[in-house]
Amino acid sequence: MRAGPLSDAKVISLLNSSFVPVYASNEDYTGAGKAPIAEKTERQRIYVDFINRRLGASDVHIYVVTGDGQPVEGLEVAKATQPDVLYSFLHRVATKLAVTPGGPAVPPHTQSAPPTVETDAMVFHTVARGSRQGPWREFPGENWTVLRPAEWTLLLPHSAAKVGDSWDVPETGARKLLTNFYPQTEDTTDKDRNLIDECGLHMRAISMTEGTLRVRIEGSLKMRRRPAPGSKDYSPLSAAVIGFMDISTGTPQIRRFNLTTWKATYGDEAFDVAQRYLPPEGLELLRR
Amino acid sequence: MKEGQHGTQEAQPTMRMRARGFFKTGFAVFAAVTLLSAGMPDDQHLLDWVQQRVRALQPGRAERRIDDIGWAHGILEAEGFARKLNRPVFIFTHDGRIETGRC
Repeated sequence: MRAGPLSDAKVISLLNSSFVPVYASNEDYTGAGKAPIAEKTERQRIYVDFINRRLGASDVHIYVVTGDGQPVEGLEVAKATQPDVLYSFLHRVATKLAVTPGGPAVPPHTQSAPPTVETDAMVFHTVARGSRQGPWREFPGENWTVLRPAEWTLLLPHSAAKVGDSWDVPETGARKLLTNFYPQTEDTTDKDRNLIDECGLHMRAISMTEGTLRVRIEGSLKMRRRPAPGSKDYSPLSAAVIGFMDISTGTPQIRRFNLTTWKATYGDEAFDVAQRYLPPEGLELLRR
Repeated sequence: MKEGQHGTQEAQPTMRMRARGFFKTGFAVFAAVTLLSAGMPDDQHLLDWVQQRVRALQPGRAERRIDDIGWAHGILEAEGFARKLNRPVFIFTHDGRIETGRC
């Protein structure tokens, strides 16, 4: 959907002018999901209402309802992803309801936005791209990782370091950063399904300039991951990573952190990952 | 054997095993890095190489068309706007995280 109709300019224009669009992840809206109870109740009521009225319903589905939550029409995703089907559907519904087009009800804004965190936490953004074409490869996979002080201090040397010093990041710290180093797979939930066999980050101070220590990062990851939650077999993943970190030496603080894959394979597919620390002053801009 | 010594003797092999396990894992990681790192940029070119690569891998504008849609923050909020603007609500229910591509 995201790579197909939801990237189509005609569909985007119609959704903004004549509908109030919303998406709802099943993980959030069912069981212990993070959506508020009232949201879950309304989602379930709509689902049951569509079933009772024989309008069709599914976990992965498109529902059109009135402002009072009354069913209008539904559309299967398998149909919606075919060329022009969603646009025709939306156009017909808007015409039937005599909608007067206008501006978007909610201003468009960044959807993959950094989480709101405590001021002493560090936010890392990870982008992963498999090298093949096809499903799950139309756009990259992204993750947001938050390190609290007890976690980001694991990246620092135990004592004041000088050029030439080296140290290893404890495995818990390396795991937290490297666990999202995998290409796009079918992910129906956020549940961690990696089996990490080896994971390490080695740091070496390479230069000192005006109170900033630059550190070279090298590391590796070996793990197994199923391509989809229901898959029987685990595919092996192997990655060598390289990057750098700048530390201010007064009160040791990480100022910059960039890490990327040097060579990485998942099964027999090569993939690339980029990970960077986003300083607090830039986070608000990324939420717009 | 003095009292308590038995416990010490019991503990020593465990500690050795742990230490051996740690070094084994450390060596495996070191070996993997060494094996895979041939040809990596040297210290002098590290910053430029890494920055360039990290920039190149960021999502492009065309990959973020989903941001061009004015999504409401929940079904109830969407219904509220719909009543006010006399428009229908478009609800897409799905698995995973459509916004991050982990779906």
